[in-house]
Amino acid sequence: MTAALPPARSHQATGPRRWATDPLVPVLLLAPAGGLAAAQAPALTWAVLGGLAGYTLSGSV
Amino acid sequence: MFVVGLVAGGLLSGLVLGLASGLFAPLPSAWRHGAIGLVALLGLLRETGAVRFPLPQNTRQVPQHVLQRNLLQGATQFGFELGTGVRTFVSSSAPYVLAVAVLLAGQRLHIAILAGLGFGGGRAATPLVRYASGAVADWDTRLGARLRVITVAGCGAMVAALALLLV
Repeated sequence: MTAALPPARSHQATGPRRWATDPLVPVLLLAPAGGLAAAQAPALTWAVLGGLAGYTLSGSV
Repeated sequence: MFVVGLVAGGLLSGLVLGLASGLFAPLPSAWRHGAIGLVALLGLLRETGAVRFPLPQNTRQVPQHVLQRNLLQGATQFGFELGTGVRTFVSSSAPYVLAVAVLLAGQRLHIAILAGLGFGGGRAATPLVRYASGAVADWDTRLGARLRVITVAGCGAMVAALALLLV
């Protein structure tokens, strides 16, 4: 009688790495950066706006 | 090289939009800023599902043979074409909001270039974070689940930042 094989596990990042690379992280960083930049460094705000616009196309090719 | 291509493509689009923005300079700033606000709000409403309308786009994608001829050159070209935003599916309103803002805000050319570089950088963030995750299939699944939040939050943040900049 053969022993039952354990179910295959899909490969997942674990722990801090999984949280740090969550797809939401760039938006969570860029969104407040846009507000801060608008108050402190208006020119940089445009770079942040560009970053937000570019990242919203995630998954589009 | 793919990331380099993305940023270079974004830079080119920013430059083109910045040069074209001169055509709108004679319009009163109140009109231009009002149009930016209207487009930004419409974009946000579209992402939330409150309004529905198709986004104008070139529905051609970068052909796969670009990558098959020469991998290094192909990756750069593929990234460049994606970075321009011209030959890609545009699934979010945010790039249009950015384009209209660059065209109508009456800013100097280096601002448009910064916006373009940021756009390329934002596009590059996707493959970079995906690669950094070390588990791309899992990351793709999580992206699919979060994409609506990403587009709504992205557009919302753009509306807020533009309001702070232009009002």
